Amino acid sequence: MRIGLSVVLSLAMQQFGQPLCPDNIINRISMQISRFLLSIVAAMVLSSCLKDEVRQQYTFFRPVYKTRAEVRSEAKSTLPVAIAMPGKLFIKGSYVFLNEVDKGIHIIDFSQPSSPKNLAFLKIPGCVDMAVRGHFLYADCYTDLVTIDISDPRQVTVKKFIEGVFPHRRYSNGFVADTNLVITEWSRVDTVVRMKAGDGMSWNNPRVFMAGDLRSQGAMSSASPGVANGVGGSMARFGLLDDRLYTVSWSDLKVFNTSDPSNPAYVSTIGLAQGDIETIFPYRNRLFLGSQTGMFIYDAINKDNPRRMGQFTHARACDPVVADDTYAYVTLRSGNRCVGNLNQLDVIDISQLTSPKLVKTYSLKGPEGLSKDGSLLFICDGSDGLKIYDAAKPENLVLLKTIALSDTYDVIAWNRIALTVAKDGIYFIDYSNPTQAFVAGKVVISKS
Amino acid sequence: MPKLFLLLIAVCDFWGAGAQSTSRWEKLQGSVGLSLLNGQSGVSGRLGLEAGYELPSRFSAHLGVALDYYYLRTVPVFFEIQRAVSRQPQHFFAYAGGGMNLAWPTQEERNMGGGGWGIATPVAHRSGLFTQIGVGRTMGKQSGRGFVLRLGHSFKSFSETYAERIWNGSNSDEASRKNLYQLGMLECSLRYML
Repeated sequence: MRIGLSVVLSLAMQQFGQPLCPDNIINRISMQISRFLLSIVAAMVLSSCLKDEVRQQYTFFRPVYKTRAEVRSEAKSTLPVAIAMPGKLFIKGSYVFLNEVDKGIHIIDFSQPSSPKNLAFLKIPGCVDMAVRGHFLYADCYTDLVTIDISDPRQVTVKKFIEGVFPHRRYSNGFVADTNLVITEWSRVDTVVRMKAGDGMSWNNPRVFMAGDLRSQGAMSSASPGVANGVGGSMARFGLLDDRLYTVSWSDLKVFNTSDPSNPAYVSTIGLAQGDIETIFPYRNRLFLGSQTGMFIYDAINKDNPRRMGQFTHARACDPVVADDTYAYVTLRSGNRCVGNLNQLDVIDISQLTSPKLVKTYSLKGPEGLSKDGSLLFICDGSDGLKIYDAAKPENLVLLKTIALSDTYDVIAWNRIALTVAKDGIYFIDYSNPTQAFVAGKVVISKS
Repeated sequence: MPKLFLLLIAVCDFWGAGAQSTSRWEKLQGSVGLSLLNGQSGVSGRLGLEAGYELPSRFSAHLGVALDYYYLRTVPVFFEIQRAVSRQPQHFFAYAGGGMNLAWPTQEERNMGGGGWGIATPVAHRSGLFTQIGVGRTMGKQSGRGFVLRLGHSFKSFSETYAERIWNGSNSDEASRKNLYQLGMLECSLRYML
């Protein structure tokens, strides 16, 4: 540096013919420059260390895609498999159809409730809802409706796919498959990433969220009087009313004509402006839709074009509904994905369909699915178990019996047997004598 | 980091060249001070307390403890070596040290995990490392008291673990997330020599 300056100054001195700077000035200038350069170097070194990094070690599930053709080829019956993640229930005759969320349907023979037999497993990728009419089963297969002949549960036959009728199923946790691909499974990934501290952390991370439990978005269909139809639960999104299959998504109602059970036909879609729809319960030409903000009653006299008759609104909560001729029973639940702070049963007078009125509210612990058989009302009350009420006088329900089960969430009471899905198994409860109801049989849920 | 330390010592030597050793050199030294911390995550502060002892060749050894509010409240406990360029009351010095960074999160910081949808979940914090390096200038008096101005780099690490809900395709599942933080910051401190 000093040499360079000397050279420059010497050249300048020669140019102007006189000395410009004495040696001490050169020394001072070179010293100042050296200090400046040292400061720059130090600043650069320091600045490279001024990083806030976080090394994140976490787990997520990555979607695995398949083509439609691959998915459809997988729809078939297999040997029975362990129940791991039960979804919605459906009963037809002495068979229970139990959804294994997104995997398929277990077929359980409960002709002997004390010793139910797991007969077969219908592999239906992307299945969360179902209904049975005659010996035909209708189920969703991601975005499609599939019709399966279950005359022989161990050797089923796929009869028909109606393509793309459930477009909302293309969307899953921010992943959208294109029209030819569907997400068939999720593979677990353990990963480590480095990022700036504060970026994409905590609950801002798009991969992290409290997902809704599909089991509670599920389908119970009605105790339809149609002889050919099965019986669904109060949390169903599929419901059969005579020869029509009704399905609800978040904001629409779809109608399928099943007069030829083996060859259902899409009829129409009715927009439901209120949104938040969670369940459908068909009963005597009426459709009771449960939403997070209320119960909506549709008149289905015109089967293909149900008409809205009335509504009963309530604070936001999850609310499956069942009904009889005069009353509707709505459970409101909060917690988990269900917002609000209500845990109760609302009994609603529906004698005037256009103006349903609240009769009485009963406080409960954490109610989910419910079912009605005659004057008996069955309520899954979360960790309290299954509660059986005498509902002969809806304004004065009498608790007859509580069956202590862990985290019950769905029930179908039919022909003196209440099928109840709990955290650890499917229970078959004999309520021939309601006050002495007891667990007659059980199928264990394997969490492995 | 060692290169940086040598560089800083060189700078001190450069700045302090020609200084004369004329003042009393205290065997025991103590200081208390406040630091301004500036890093990628913002500006924060640190309260510090140090006690030191003179070693040969203008070196001194120090033990310190601090209360650090950068990103997460922690308590660094550290050992530090200083080398002065002279023994005058006013002199430049370089320092480097390291030790434990004890996590001492506030109540709010203990509940900032990502349980899902903004739901606060408990967080378990684990302690990490603490290092610092830099240069300083004493502005002392003959009595040994006075102020110290320091400029340097500080690093601290810690980890946190919390449970979170993740989507497994059909339901939410519980999983564990571990974050290891490594935070570097520029430190400018003003201390008072006791």
